[in-house]
Amino acid sequence: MTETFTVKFSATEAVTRRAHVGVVASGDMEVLLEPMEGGAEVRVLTMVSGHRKIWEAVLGRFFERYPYSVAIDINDHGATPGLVWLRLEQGLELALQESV
Amino acid sequence: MTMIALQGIDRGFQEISPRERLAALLDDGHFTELVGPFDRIHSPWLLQQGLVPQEDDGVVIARGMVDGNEVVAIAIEGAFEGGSIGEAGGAKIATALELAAESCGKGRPIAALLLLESGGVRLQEATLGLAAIASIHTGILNLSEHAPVVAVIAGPVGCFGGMSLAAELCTYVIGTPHGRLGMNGPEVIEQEAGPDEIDASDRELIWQIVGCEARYRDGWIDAFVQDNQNAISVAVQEGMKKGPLVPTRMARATEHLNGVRLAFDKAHRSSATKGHTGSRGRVWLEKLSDGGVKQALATASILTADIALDEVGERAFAISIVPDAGSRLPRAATGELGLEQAWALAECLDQFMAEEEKAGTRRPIIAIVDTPGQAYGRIEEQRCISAAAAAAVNAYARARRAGHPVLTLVVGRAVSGSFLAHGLQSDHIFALSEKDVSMYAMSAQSIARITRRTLIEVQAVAAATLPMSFAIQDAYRLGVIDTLIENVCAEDPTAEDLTAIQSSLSKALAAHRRGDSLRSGIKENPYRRVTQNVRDAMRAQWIANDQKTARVEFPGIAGQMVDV
Repeated sequence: MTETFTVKFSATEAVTRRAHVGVVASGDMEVLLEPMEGGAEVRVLTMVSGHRKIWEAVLGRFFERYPYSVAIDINDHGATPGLVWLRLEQGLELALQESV
Repeated sequence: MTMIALQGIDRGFQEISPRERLAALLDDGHFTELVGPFDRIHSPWLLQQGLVPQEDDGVVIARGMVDGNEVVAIAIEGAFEGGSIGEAGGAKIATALELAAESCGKGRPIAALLLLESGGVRLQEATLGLAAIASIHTGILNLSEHAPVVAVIAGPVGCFGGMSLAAELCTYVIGTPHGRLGMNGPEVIEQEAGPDEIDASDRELIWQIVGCEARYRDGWIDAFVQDNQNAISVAVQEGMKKGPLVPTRMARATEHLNGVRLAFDKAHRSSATKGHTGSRGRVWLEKLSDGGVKQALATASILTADIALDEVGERAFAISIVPDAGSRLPRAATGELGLEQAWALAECLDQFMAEEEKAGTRRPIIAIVDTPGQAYGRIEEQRCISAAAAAAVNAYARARRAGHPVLTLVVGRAVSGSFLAHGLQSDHIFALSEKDVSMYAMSAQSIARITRRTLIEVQAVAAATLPMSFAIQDAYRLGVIDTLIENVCAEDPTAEDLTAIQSSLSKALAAHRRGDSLRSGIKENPYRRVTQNVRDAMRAQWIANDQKTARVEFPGIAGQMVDV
């Protein structure tokens, strides 16, 4: 069954825009990233329950390295921690691009 | 940046996302996405079943240009739930097509480009997926009156089920070596008909049947190009230039019907096959018409009859698909919609419309439905049953556009592709509220195989999830069936039953003749909020897009930028 939870992190840097990457497909996940004020908040919806600790560890490391104040929605279909990291970086990279 | 450099590389469509495909085909890589992921109108039904939804429901709707002309471009994400069509994604496609047709009517032509990667109906939202695909069919046909509707089947998923009918309805279809087009997937045929019919693991055989190269060779698609952005882009521009022409394959029903008859001349007929037991279609036609039942085009399984609707002084033309144990093709012997049935259905409707046109009348058409499904078979796929079924869809839709009221009466099984071709293109769907009157997209056994669940799991989910239910009452709750008729015997209607049905049909007809819409509508339906949300959001964003000229830059990487 699916599991869903929300994790918060303190973050101060600003992004310029919102971004959407990834797909809800086997071993992959979808990320929706939006600018937010006063810290980061990540909502995870995963079809692999029971791994909240690992999620928190990966996300914690991510926001240590990239302290951006963003709201993130993750729809996960069994992405590995490595892919989670990659998708988050892709999303952030897009969110940091200049507005057109 | 390295990401930008990727723009210069011509990767095949196989390797790129729906949004990248759109950027590759639309002028300057520009488009505006409507009802995108940040609108968060996802499937309400997947989560109920322990599955994770995607925020765009796997469908990307974009407005942009091809060759300087406005298009609405629709791309399906094949990686999400096999590109299957559910309530939200289906409503996105249907509404976008409807809005494009509306715009054409107002003097601002907008063509459509469909990038199809779809396994067909999403089995987890079966009834609603099927209804959504029927609306997509209507949308394609309404728009193609005014503007070209070009489809690309690039793979890897291909285009199957009801969406293969959608492809065949388009004005121009482009395939690549990785694309496939078929009505029934090989796994489903094997499940329904056994491994002797088709070996789903025989990849070479499957590709020889449903691969786009074979489809192009046999004239079922219009162009076959290599899988690179430039070749596909050139083909799309070519297709757009052809204009809003209904493909000739649709207009050659007689030819295809005769082709099937010649190739399988009584090949499978067994001798002792006179009996027609268990056909509700036949029973209802006979009883409603006082015995004046005829075979259409010498097809024992397509019966027609004139039905007097005395209350309104009209004579309706009624059609039903019935079992024919002596069917040329054995997979269509027990009442299924097969090649012969679908082409004959299309042709008999065409002939009826031609006669009516001459007489200057617009008599009503009544589809009487007890059809167990489309014929699952190898020969059926080889001869592109998708096109045959699409021809029937086209015939019903044309009848409605010509002004014939089309009513559907479900007296038994209303199933899958056969219901798309015979029943779902109508102004109003009546169904008898009896225990064995049902509507569904696929047998529980096949759903189990395709969705990798056990039969018991499927049955449990079907009981708990409204659109997966097989019960006609649930299809009514979802607004897919317009009227449920209680206390009428489906198997052997009495004189009172017949009077009740004639009265219901007459009332609907009178309303239609007054110009009232017969659709029950879903506005107040609590189970259809998602459809309504999609429609409202799409219309609002469409209008906003009409008014602004600014476009969103597409960065050309695995993701998209969206205006903040």
